[in-house]
Amino acid sequence: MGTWNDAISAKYAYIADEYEVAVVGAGHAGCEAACAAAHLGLKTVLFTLHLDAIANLPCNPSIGGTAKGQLVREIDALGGIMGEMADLSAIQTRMLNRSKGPAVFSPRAQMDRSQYSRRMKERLEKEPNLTLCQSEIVEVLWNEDASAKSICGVKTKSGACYPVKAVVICSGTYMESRTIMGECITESGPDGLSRSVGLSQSLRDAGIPILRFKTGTPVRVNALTVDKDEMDIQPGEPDMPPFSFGNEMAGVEVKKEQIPCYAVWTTEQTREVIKNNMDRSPLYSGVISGTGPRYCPSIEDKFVRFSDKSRHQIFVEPMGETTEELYLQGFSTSLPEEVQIKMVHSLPGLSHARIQRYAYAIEYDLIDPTSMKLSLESTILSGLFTGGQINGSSGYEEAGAQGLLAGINAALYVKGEAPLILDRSTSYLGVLVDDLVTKGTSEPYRMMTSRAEYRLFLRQDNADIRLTDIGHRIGLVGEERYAKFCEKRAAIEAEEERLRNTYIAPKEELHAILRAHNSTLTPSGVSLAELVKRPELHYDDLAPVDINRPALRKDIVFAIEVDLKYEGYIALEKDRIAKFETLEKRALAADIPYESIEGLRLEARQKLSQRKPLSVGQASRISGVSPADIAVLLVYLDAQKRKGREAHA
Amino acid sequence: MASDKPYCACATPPGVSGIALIRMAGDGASTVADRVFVLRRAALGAKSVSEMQGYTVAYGHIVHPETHKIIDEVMLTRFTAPHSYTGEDAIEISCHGGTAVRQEILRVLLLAGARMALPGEFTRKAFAAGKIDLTQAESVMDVIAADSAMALEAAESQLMGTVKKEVRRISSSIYAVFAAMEMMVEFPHEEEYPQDDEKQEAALQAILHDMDMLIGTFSQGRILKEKMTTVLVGVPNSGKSSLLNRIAGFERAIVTSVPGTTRDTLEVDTTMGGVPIRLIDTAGIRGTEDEVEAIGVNRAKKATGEADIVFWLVSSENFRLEEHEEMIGDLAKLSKNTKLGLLISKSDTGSNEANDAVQKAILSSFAGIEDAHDISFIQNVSATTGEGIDAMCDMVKAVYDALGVGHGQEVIITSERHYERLRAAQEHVKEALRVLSHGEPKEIVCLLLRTAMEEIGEITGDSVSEKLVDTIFSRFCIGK
Repeated sequence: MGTWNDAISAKYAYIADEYEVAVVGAGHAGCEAACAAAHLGLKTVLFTLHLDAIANLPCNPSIGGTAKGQLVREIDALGGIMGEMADLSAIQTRMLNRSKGPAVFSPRAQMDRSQYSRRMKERLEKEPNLTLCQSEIVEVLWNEDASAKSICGVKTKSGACYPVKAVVICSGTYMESRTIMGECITESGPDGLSRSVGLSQSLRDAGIPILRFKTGTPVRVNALTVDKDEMDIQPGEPDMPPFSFGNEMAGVEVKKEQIPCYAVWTTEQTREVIKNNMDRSPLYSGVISGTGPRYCPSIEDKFVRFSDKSRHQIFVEPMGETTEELYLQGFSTSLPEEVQIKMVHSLPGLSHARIQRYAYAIEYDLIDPTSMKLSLESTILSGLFTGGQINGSSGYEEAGAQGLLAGINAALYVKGEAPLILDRSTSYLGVLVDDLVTKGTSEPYRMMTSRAEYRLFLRQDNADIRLTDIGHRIGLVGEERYAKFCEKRAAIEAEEERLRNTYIAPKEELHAILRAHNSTLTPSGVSLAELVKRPELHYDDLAPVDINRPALRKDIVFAIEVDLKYEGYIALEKDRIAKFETLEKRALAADIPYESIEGLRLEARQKLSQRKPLSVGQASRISGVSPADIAVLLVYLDAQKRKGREAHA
Repeated sequence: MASDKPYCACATPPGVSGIALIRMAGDGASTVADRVFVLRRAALGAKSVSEMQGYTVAYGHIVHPETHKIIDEVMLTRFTAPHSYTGEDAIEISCHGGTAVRQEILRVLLLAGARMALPGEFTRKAFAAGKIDLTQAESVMDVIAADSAMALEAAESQLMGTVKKEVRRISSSIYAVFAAMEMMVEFPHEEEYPQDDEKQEAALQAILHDMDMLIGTFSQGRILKEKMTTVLVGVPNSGKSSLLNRIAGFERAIVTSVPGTTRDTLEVDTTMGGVPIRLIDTAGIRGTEDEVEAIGVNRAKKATGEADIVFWLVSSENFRLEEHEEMIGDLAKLSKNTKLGLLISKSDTGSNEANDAVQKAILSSFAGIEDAHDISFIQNVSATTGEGIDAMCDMVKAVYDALGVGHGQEVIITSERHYERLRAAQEHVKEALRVLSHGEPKEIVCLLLRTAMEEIGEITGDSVSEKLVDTIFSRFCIGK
């Protein structure tokens, strides 16, 4: 099993076209991976069970949100496509956290679900080097020699054996999945689509550890049967910048006509209905075995866990311009259909609502992410990369980001080049990958801003400053776009320099502005930079005393304001990052005999031997390795150095 | 890992002493010991070191491994892994304290297969073996260096982890506020989490207060480590050297009756009232053309200016007020910031009336000078009879106690490193409070609190950086 020769010799098997990279699954991760590999010049094939459900949004019909919006901007900065796709299909936009500071601004947009999928298909079909194929992959094929396994092909259900050099699996929630609605269990993928059978077993055969998770999706109702007057309206904000930096630099406005969302609160009746039917809940009756996400609990979960709260807020979101379907965010459940109807009817404005799609829970197979390297390549099977929910994450943005990285690294692998590794101080993507690979996860992992230690530095507005150079170096960001980016960066630096060196006299002109904003008057000349730093003043406010200023785009002004207002704090954060980097750069050789380092506790020895971290920094994040263990490790490395033996990277 | 030679060193300081202690640790320590130790009597009938049980002592001789010439009569203690300081096999040899003997014993150990220990190796190994943590390793150094009862107490309490406990408690309090802030940042649109800024501000105020208290103990803690400088001043032949000898307990200074004998400042580390002090005896200060004496006088003036306590000795013997004019002027200037004590010295040689007269004369002259603070401590002392010395000890203790912030503070920070980290963390917490109360973005508060916790973590070893580990172990010397 697993080897090429076995696969070929089976009945009805045949050798199909050769490709350099094969991507399995056309969800958000798969689309990014396929696009990236193809764009980097490799002959790529993208397999999917359903060509009509490419880049499906099976749950929340939106892209972005807290921490997720940051991920989308990072995908775009690196040269991925999610940002552009989101800009094209947005029906409502809102920058979250506007009332807080810019470090936590998060762009979010409701998507027209079917449009998003169609546009993505169109985009992929037009990508040179990329072939789409509707076919089910059931096996990964590998060569094995004394030291390691390396991938050499994939096999479809219909017997086609494709020779490939690298494989990226982005199976999402489709492997061996079951959907559960009360007592009704169906062997199916999300949205009633067919699932993947056999691939999970093939990975097991290769020695890859497999886990099982659960997630859920809520009810969809028909808008014509809903009374919006009884709900609180949540309008969008048309001034959110585009997700894509390319669009932002070109001054493209995303979606002027906004379709509103609504919000309602659950009622006593809702609580009663759920309470009286808990025995029919598959979660609480033991039918569901997979672990669900803590951050995205079903509505019955919420009532049980937060029993002191009498009500929960539900958001009613439109799903597209040409559909009447409304998505009830916060109302996912796996209670039976009958009960769902009663639950929906207990909500204000929804007492006569007709349900078009029922809610369900879905269980699926995935791999243990700690069996991957930081490049998203498997430690067990060389040339096998994975991205998306198969790695234990949840969410389209988390998937897209991983898919992009996996696709890039699959391409670099085939080219024989070193992989791209992003660390925690460079991006949310870095945090995401490091969390999954180094710490592992026991439930679907959702990105949150609190997971980032350097949140002030990892902002949505500076993703391009942080990552575009890398995207360009790899080859995903084209020359034209890169040139525009360099212009933007230069303009920011030049203007900041000018602001620091331009002094405004303490005359009435300036004082009038200061008074208008309750800002203290200046006894002597003060630089424009000093003024912009003040929390109560903005760059635009100072125009009257700064008539010779260059005309600058909104995004450039925004970047300058943040840089100046948070200068001290950003410097503090950069110090912390520098400290972090010293431990990240302290390399650990693969052959360190952890078992015989006495000062390490037993658990630490086991974990370190098993996981073989690349650096002391990564070691410190493995669960079971305490700071005391790290101190011992540092002393050990020092002793080794003294003995004249350096630890080689 | 290839097994290393056992390593050895002398654990007692150089210099003459009754007994010295030599340690050897590492795999094979007993085997090496057996090559040089001839066992005469041991507990439980053991005939060689390798047969001895852990925690038992044997009496015998250290001999040259080849010639078998006896080098010293010693007591040898055996420790078996893992029940020893470093967790390895170890032996300790108590030998006679002469330098030559010690050196010889070390030499034969090396011949027999051991090697010299690296600086700090024993404690580093103990740390690596998980026997002690980073801050305990640090305090081992302090315990060793402690030469006063109080300093020892402070160092031992750190060894026992009281500093760690208090610092961790403060860190947890910061964490609680941090977590609340993170909630508000992460879930802004959920009305379910109330924004209770005032509660968090109050919590931060309380934390700052606790940090102040803890940081404040460093002024006492520093003394424990670095000693209180106590300077003896007075015109030539006022009895300073005799008094110093009396207090320090031995003939450190040369005492003759010719003025100007003590040419330089003499420093003696000793304790008074349980407080570690550095007692400094200055050259007799008077106008002089003698160059050497003049240098001594300048040094004396400098030391006086930097002192924590100045004891001014004036004797009734041959007392003439004019001789003290310059000194009165100098000390009046200092009286504002330095604790000053007037000692009527050689009190046994003068009558009560003479002593009182001197006191009156000095005080009224002193009072006549502008800006001079009153001298609060006045005492008759005699180096010969010992009169007044107890009162001086009480005064020193009182000055030390007055430095303390809040009574009943059991935890004292003695380490400069800890003090710096706490100060840095405190600055961040202060800034966090300012940001929060001004309504500025909460993620800034989060950043500042997170940084504060990272700083504090370096005290307890809960957050580890390379520099930290290096700093701690660089202070060690061989044998510890």
